[in-house]
Amino acid sequence: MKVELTVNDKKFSVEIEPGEMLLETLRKLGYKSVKHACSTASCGACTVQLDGKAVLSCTTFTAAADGHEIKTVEAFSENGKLSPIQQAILEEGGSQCGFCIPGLVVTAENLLDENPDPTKEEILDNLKGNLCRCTGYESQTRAILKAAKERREK
Amino acid sequence: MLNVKEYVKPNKVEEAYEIGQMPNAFYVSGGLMVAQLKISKVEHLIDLKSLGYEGIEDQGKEIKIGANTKISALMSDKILLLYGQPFRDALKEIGSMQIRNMATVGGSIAFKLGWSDLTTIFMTLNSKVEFYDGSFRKESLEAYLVGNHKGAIITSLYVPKPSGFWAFEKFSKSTFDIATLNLGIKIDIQGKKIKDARIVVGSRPMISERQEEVENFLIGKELNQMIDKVGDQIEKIVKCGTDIRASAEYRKALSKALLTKAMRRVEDESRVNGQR
Repeated sequence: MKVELTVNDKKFSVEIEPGEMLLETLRKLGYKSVKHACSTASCGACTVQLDGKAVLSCTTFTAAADGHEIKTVEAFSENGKLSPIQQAILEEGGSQCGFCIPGLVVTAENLLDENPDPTKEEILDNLKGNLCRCTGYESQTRAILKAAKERREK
Repeated sequence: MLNVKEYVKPNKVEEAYEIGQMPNAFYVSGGLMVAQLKISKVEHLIDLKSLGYEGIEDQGKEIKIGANTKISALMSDKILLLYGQPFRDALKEIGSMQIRNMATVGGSIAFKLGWSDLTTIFMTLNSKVEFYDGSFRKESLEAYLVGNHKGAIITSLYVPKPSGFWAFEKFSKSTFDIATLNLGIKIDIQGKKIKDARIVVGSRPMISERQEEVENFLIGKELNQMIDKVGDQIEKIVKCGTDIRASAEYRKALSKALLTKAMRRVEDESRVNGQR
C-alpha cells in the first residue's frame, strides 16, 4: 500500500507493507537517528514526534501515520546549529555512548513545548520512557533545565 | 513485522464491525497492543481512528470520553479537572509520556488486560462503556469486563460527575513497569460516616474486580476508625494469582498496604475539602 508522509517538513510517497512499523519506514528513508532497539515499547530509542507528540515508532503502524507530520531529532537543529536542548546536552556531558540521545531529545522537545518551566521531578517523570544506561539521567536533567531556561529567555 | 494482508480505515462503525467479524481481524486504535502481538495470524488490521469517537464532552450528570481519546489528552483536559489532582497523578503513573501519547481509552479497556491501570481507575469512578456489536449498547464497565463481547467496538466511556473522595494506588517494580497490583477507592461520606464505598483491585494479575464484601464492611462506619482495620479485611478476601511479577500471597499483602494508604489519602482530602 502507498502512504504519504511528511518527515521533517519533507514530503514522501512511500510503498509499504500493511503491517510495517514507522521505525522501519523511517530507517528505509534514511533517518538512521531513529534507533532500532527493543521493539517492545520499552526503551524509547525509536522516539519520534507524530503531529508534535512524542511516540514510539517501533509500535506505530506506518499506515496509521499516513497523511501526518513526523519529526525526528534532525528537525530540531537549524542550519547546522544545534537546538538549545542538543547544545545543553553536549555542554553538560549528557551524551556518553549516545545511542539513546536522539529519542531523548525528541521527548524533551515535547516536554518543553507543553511545560516550558518543568521541575527536576517533572523532567525525570517524563524521561522514564527513555532508557539511558550511561548517565543516570543527572547530566541530562541538568541539560533540560538549562535548555528550558534558555528557551524561556529567548 | 506482522504479516498483514490489509490495513483498512473505515469511516463507519457498522463497516468496521463487519470487517472485524472476519477471521484474524484486529482493531487498531492507539496500536500499541496490536503492534506487539506475537502471533502470525493477523490478516486484517482495522484502524478505528477514522470513526471519530475522540474527545471529552460534559453531558451534565456525566462526562463522555470518546474511545479514541489518548491518555495524554485526559491529563490536560479542563473538564476532567473535576476529578482533581488524584486523577492527574494516577494517569501520570501509566507507562511513559510516549505511551500516554499513543494509548487510547478504548484500547486500554478492550483487551480486558489485568494490568490496565485505566480500567481500575474508571471502574472505581463507576463508569459505563458504550459499544457497538450490531447495535449500540451501554453497560457498566464491570459488566463489560466479564461479558463476552468478541468483535465489539468500544465507542465511548461515560464517567459520572465526581462525588465524594477517591484515591488510586499502584505498586510496580520500576517507574515504567506494569503494576504488580493496582487499587482504587471511592468513598462518599455523610456526617462522619461512610455512606457509600467502591473498592477495585486490578493487576491481581487477573482483570480488575470490585471488592464488594470490603465495601459493605465500610458502609455506616467512621472513616478514621476504619483506616487500620480495612487492610486486614481486604487481605483475607481479595482473590490474587501468582505470575512472574509476584506471588498471590505477596499481592494479598500489597492489597492491604495499598488500601490503607488510599484510605489515608481519602481521609486527608476529606479533612481539607470537607463533606462532598
